[in-house]
Formats: sequence, structure tokens, C-alpha cells
Amino acid sequence: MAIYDTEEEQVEALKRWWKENGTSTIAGLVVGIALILGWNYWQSHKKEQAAQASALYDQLLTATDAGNKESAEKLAERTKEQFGTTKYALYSGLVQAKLKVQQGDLAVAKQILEGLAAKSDDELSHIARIRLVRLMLATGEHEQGLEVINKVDPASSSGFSVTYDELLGDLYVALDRRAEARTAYQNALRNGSQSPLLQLKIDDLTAPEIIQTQK
Amino acid sequence: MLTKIREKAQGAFAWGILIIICVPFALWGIQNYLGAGKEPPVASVGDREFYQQDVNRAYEQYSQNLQGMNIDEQMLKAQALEKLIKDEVLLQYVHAEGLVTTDNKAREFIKSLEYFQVDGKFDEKQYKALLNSQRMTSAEFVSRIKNALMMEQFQRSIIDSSFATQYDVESFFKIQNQQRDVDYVIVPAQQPAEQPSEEEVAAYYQQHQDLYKVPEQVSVEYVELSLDDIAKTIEVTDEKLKAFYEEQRDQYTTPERRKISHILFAINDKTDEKTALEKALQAKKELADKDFSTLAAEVSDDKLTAKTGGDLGLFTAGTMEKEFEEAASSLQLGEVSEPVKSPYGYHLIKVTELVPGEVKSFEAVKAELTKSYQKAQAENAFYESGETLSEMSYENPDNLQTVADALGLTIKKSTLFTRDNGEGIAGDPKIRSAAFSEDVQQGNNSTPVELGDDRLVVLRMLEHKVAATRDLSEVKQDVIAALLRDKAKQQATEKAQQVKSRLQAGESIDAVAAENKLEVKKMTGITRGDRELPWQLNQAIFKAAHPVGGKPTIFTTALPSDDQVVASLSKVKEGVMTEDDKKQLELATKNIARAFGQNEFSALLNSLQAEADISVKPQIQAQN
Repeated sequence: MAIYDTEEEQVEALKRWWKENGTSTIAGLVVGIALILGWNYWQSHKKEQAAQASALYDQLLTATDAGNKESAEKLAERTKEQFGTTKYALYSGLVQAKLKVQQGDLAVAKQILEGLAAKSDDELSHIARIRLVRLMLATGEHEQGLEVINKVDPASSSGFSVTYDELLGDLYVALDRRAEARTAYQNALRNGSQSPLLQLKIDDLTAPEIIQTQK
Repeated sequence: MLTKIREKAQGAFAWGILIIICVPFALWGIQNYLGAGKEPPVASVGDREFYQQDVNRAYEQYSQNLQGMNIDEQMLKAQALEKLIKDEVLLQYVHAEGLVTTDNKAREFIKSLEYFQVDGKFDEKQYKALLNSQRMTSAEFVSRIKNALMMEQFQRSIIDSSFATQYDVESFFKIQNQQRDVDYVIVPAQQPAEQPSEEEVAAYYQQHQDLYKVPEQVSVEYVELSLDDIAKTIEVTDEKLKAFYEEQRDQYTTPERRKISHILFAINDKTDEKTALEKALQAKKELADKDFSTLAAEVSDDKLTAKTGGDLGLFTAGTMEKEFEEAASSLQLGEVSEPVKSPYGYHLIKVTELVPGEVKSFEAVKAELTKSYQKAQAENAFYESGETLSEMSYENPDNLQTVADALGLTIKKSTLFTRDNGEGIAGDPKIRSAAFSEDVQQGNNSTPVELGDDRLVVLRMLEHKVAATRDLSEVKQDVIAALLRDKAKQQATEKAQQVKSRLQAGESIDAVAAENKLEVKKMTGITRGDRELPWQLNQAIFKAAHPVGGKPTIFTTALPSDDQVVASLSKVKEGVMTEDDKKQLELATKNIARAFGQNEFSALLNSLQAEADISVKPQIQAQN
């Protein structure tokens, strides 16, 4: 760094420096402040969005609960449109699928759930997939249902395995593959399924005695 | 079945709500600050740490809901911790998902809570007082409520969005309403006529020692301090009672009811004192042939009451000027006073309603008085004696006599009782658990056991019988009976097996039954809920394999009487919806959907828990 002899020289040097760098310093400050303000705005905007989404979604839940299907449908659509970046959009999708099933429109319900299974996070995609397979069971697409379940990575689905196993059993029963169905149900039971119907389903699949003695 | 699902669903949901309401009171945060640095956490979920206090508090709430049930404390604590962890995992997830609760919703929810209501309305004071007592700020509480509502919103997202298809509903009824046709015979268990030999009896006794065990038993001696007993000993004299009566007079007094009206002649800038008084005297004269309320409406300067005939409502001493009060309280019903002066001016006062006060006489309430006097006096004595009882029984741990003498109590004795069962004083689980506590087992006095608010018991062991096996000579008859039963059962089982083999070989059930002098029962269209059959048989029928290739399924099952059933299942008919079911189709669909949703939600929780970073201190786990 240079050493200046007099005050004038120092002032002179400062002026020079300012002339060269003043604009960029101001620009830097302005950009910095704008960033902070922008960030704050963005945060509060996001918060506000989430709060609005939550309130709208609550209305949707209330409408569904009251069996007010028409307004539920509209609310679900609005939540998805206006707050597509929040998770409330996904939950609204789940509710929409239910509404479609109630109207007997299984094909559209399937589409919605397929979309959710593909794009949502792990937990929700499992929920969507389980419901999707249940629809496939209802529409007789048993093989496709089996395929969907077989594609699930067992490592990521440990918590859901009981539900998948019971569904697997249902699919096998529909395909009249009783031995496989039995195994699937028993897996579900062993892993602590709380499904109230499961025990009845297992009892209904008791193997004839000859097979039992072989065990 | 349907109702079962429903109960289950509702139970689980109600439990959820309960947690939501309880969790906010759990004081998590505060405990953590206090606990930090002093003791290691017992568990952690992500960044969140739980201390022993958290577990204790959760346990307290948990056990309150299970009051009266005798469940092991350690087990409950482990469950409480599990619950804490589960909730925390869910909470962290919904936060990460970006769920929020609006201020408005939280406010409405808090307002709807009964805790904070007075006469059915939210009460700010009550709210603040309750939070204070929990040492919680409003901000903390609101944030806790918000968390809880967030969790509930998510739970509803999964459970309420669940559906059941037509296929699901039909499958349910196919299984639930299934019907089965069965022919069966009962092979009775008949006791052999001949008595078993001595050797057989001895051998059976040896093999079944555990059947002849007597559990550990104790009896105790105890002293009991009871408020009622003390109260009875309190001496009562008329003198003391009278003093007490004077103290409690208010309780036996109904105050006088006096309603008054007035007409005011104001003294102000326009009207001086003299004029006001003259007007008042004039008015008083007019009252001879004019109604008081009419006149009040016409001339009273108290415009507020003038409209209602000068009515001032019930008169309460201490709220008016002295002169006014004296006049008002000395008037008879209907009488109008002379003008009375107050800072406002001159009043004419009238008593419009008068119900004289009543004081119940000492004689009338003497019995009642005696009781409450004795009780009031006894409370102090009870408290003091309780202290003495506690101290002396602790200082003289090897006997009860000292403390009994000091307090003038008699030592009573219980009969023998076990950990789980007892009579008299041992009927109380608190007494049993004290009797089997380590201290008492070592021969010391127990600490005082509180039975309700008004009884205290200290006990010590009188007799201790360890668990033992009863001698053969004592139980010989039982052994012989058991042996005979066993033999009968074995015989019946063997015979049932023979019958079964022959049926499986294709012989007709009628022929085999006739040969063995058994009666064949033929049932068609048996349903799950059928009450005609013993339920063990019903269960077995619905667990039997479907008949294959036109061949009936043959199976055996035992009845509680040891009789054996051999049955032939010839037909399984798929269930269909009954007319009743159809009527309730909507409800059924809803309930099935809900059951699916509950299942999916619990699967989701399990999945979250499997992925979460949870650590639990080993010893807690070991107690699990």
C-alpha cells in the first residue's frame, strides 16, 4: 500500500478510488439490500401462501366430510391451481381421487393416483400407489396390480409392507392363486397388520388337510 | 363385524384427539431447558431430545386414562415414551412437508376448549390463569396447539381421503356373510367307571405340580386413622356449639329482600334547597290520591328511574347515603318516607316489596350444626394425627403398638390375601401393593397409605406364606377328578379321530354315527354370527378348508365340556348383501374406507419411524 505525505494527497487518493469504484460499490450495496428484502419478501410470501393453502384445504376437508361433493371438487381444483407448489396440492389430489371413486369414475381416479404416485415424496407415493392398486383390483386389472407392487423397492417401503402384502393377497385371491394369497396374508399378519378383516381372509384360505400334514 | 370396525375406527380417532388435547399440556420445552446439562436424555428423535421428566409427564397423562387398571408402571412408561417418539416423528414430518395452521384456526380451536370456558364462553382470565398454572406463555401454548392441529390436518388428509370401491364392499360382504353347510356328530367325553390306581394318581400329581400351587399370601395388621372416627369423638357442648353457630350464622340466614322506589327533587343551579324541600312536601301530599309510580314518572328529577316508576331495584345496605339508607331500611311495605336529604336533593322513598329475612334458630339446626362442628374440629386433629402417625410409625418401624397407643387406635388384622385379590381392607389395591412392597416384606411398617381424602392406614406384615405346592394328600380328590377328566377326553378324542378317518375314507356320516350310537346334526346356511351353535364350533367351521373336488372337508374340534365334535363341511356359499346391509350400504362403505385409511395412516407412521433418526437409551428399551 502506498504511503501518502499530506492530507491533500490522501483526500486526492480517496477521490480517485471513489471515481473508479464508487458505482460498483453502490451497485453492490443496492443488490445486497435488494437480495435481503427479496429474501424476506419471498419467505413471508411463502408463509402467506402456505397459510392460504391450509385454510382453503380445510374448507375442502369440511366440504368432503359434509358430503358436499360439488363444492369439494371445486375447492380441490382451486387448491391445486393456486397452491401447486405446496403439499396441500397433493393432498387435494388424494381427496379428488376419492371424489371420483364416489362418482364411479375409476378411470380418472386412477389417472390422478398414478400422477401422485410418480411425483410425490416417498410416503405419499406409497399411499397413492396402494390406492391405485385397490382400483386395479376393482377393475379386474390383477396382473397390472401385481406388477405395480412388484416394482416397489422393498427397502423403501418397510412401514407399508403390511398394506402391500394384504393387497397382494387380495390380488392373488382374485386370480384364484390361493397358496400365494395365503402366504401374502400371513406375511401381513406376522408383520403386525391391524386390518380387521385380515384374520377372516386367512381363515377362508385354510389349506386342505393333506397339505397341512406335509408342512 | 361392521360395528367392530366402527368401534375400532372411532376409538383410534378419539384417542388421537385426546392426544392432541393432552400434548399441549405436556410442557415439553420447559422441561428440556431445566433438564439440559443435568442428566442425559433418555431418547432423541432428530434434534429433539426427551428427558426422564418428559416420559414421567406423558406417563401421568397416559395412566390417568387407564385409571383403576392394574398395569405395570414400567410397561406404561415404555409405552408413553413410544407415544412421545411417534408424535415427534409425525410432527417433524408435517413441518418438513410445509404444513401450517393459520392463526385464525388456532384461535377458534382454543376458544372452543372447555378448559377455558366459563358458562360456555371463552374466558380470557380463565385462560391466563390455567396457562400460568402450567407455567406456560400464551405464545408457547398457541404454538403447541398449532402443531397439534397441523398433525390432525395431516391425519385427516390420509384418513378422510381414503375410499372403498364397490368391489371392496362386495368382497367384505362375500366373506362376512358367507354361509356354510355342515353335518356333525358330538362324541361325548364319558368318564370311566373304574377309579385310577394310586400309582397313576401319584404320577399325575408329579407331572402337574403347577396345577397345585398356592400363590404367595400375606396377612397384615394395621392401624387406621379416619376422619369420621375422629369426628365422633369430638366433644360437643351447647356453649361451643352456640359459638360455632354465631360464626356460621350466615349459612343459616336468608337475608331480607327489600325493593325500593324513589322520587327525586334535585338541588341544582335552578332549584335551591328550600324549593326542593317544598316540592317534595307538596308531592308527598299529592300521594294521598295519586299512585307513587305515576307521580314518579311525572315529577321525579331522576329521569332514568322516572320511566319505571322510580324503581331502584333491590336495596343493598352500604351503597347509599346514610340518611337514605336509614329511611329505606326502616320503612314498612307500601309506606312512603318523609323527604330525605342526600347530596342529590330530596327523596321520597317507598318500599314496594318486602320479604323479611329469616334466621334458622339454633335449636332447628342443632343436629346439622353438631355434625359440621365435629367435622371441622376433626380436620385439624386428623391432620395432626396423620403427621404423628407418619412420624411415629417411621421412627418405630418394628411395631405398631407405639403409634396405636399414642393415638388411641386399635390394631386390626386382615385375613390372608394375594397380590391380586383380597377381602376387607385388602380389597383395595393400594393396600395390597403396600403389603407386598419391599419395605413391608422386610418386616417394617409401611408408609401411610391414603384411602381417599379421609382415611390413612399404616400396616405391617402379620403372616407371610410363600408360594407353595400343596401336598398330595390335600389335593388327592382334585387329582383323581382331573385324571378322570383327562382319560375321558383322551377317549373321546381317539374315538373322534376314528370317526374322522372313516369319514375321510368316504363312509357316510349317517352310517358311522348309527354304528357308534351318535346323533347326526345337519345344519345348512350357518353364518358367522350364528348363536345356535357353540361358538367354538362356529369358529372351527369358518376356519375349515373349503371342500375340494366335491369332497367334503372333515375336521374335529373340542367343546369346553371336552366333548369332541366331528364335522363334515359340504358347502361354502359366498356371502351376499342382505336387505339390511343394502339399507346401510353408505355407512358400510364409509366404515370400510375409514378402516383402510386408518391402516394406511398407521403404515405411514411406521414408515416414518423406520426412517427417522431415533435413539433410545438402552435400559428403557430393556424394560419395554
